[in-house]
Amino acid sequence: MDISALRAELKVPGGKLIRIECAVKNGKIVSAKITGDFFMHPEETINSLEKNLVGSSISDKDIERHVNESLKADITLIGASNADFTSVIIQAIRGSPNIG
Amino acid sequence: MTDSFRFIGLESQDAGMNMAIDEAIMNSRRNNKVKDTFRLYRWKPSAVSIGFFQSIDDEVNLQACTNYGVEVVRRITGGGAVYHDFDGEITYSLIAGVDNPKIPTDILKSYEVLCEGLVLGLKNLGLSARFNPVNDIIVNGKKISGNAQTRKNGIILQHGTLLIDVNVDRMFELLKVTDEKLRDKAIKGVKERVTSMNLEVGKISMDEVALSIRDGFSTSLGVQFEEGHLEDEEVQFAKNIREEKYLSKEWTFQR
Repeated sequence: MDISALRAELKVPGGKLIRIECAVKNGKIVSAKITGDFFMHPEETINSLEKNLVGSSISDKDIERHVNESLKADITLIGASNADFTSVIIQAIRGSPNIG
Repeated sequence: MTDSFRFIGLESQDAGMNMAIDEAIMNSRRNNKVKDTFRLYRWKPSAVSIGFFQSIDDEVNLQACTNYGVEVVRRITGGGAVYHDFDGEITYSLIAGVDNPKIPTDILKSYEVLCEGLVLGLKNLGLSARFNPVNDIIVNGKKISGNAQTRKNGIILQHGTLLIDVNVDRMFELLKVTDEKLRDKAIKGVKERVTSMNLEVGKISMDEVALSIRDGFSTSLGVQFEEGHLEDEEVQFAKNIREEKYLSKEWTFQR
């Protein structure tokens, strides 16, 4: 099966912008890049989030689990929440009509 | 080391050096070699800084930056892309230990506490400014300042902007918009939502604004600001990371 390159973005109401670019092959995420103007403390957590997403199945549950495992309670997010990150990744994978 | 702050007055550096100095101060503060520090600076030449998590390709028109001689640097703080016009903006940075009792442990609350310095500084100049969560300061309902914070190894860095004179058209030549079809609308929107010192109080000198910001922060934190300068070690550290980190493609184009 071919690799699909997917992209989605979410402007969190009252918050910041999150963009995701990911690639999917055989029902699994093979690469993920998350960008935007949100705040995440410590900042390096973004690398472990992206790394943890790789290998995840594209089921909503698995994506949510990987996001929550990466963004634990000791991580401070400002302008976006775990649910926002989960939602934008799912949106990319489902191929939202909003993707650019 | 919380009884007084070192104050480093308004000076101009290039983008890489400005970001490197902020990090150098964090480093020397962590090693307890300097006091908590407040610094004011301008960007020479004018520059775009992008937030740590932003995609440079999505945010910045690199060709336009080259054409105008505008530098581009990635910050260690999150948040959005900022155009730092040499003649139109003053940046501050505040570096303090997380154990500074004046600064809340909670990051969101600390934005409000630290931004109060700017609010008071603007009040000294006759403006009714207020903090607008998460990280903005507004005057008459319009944004005049954006702020960003990081915490590393027990040290807080908050830096932020104060618009002196705003050129939205130039800003939009340098920065990309999410949807090119909506470019005109985006420009109009920003013109309606952003203001500057010149628009609010008329022509005012950078030095006058700088002194007022300094006094605002000193008052809001309830600490003396003592005139100081960068230590030789900090200058050397900054020069090194300017070259090795902030000017490197690896850092700048990482996202």
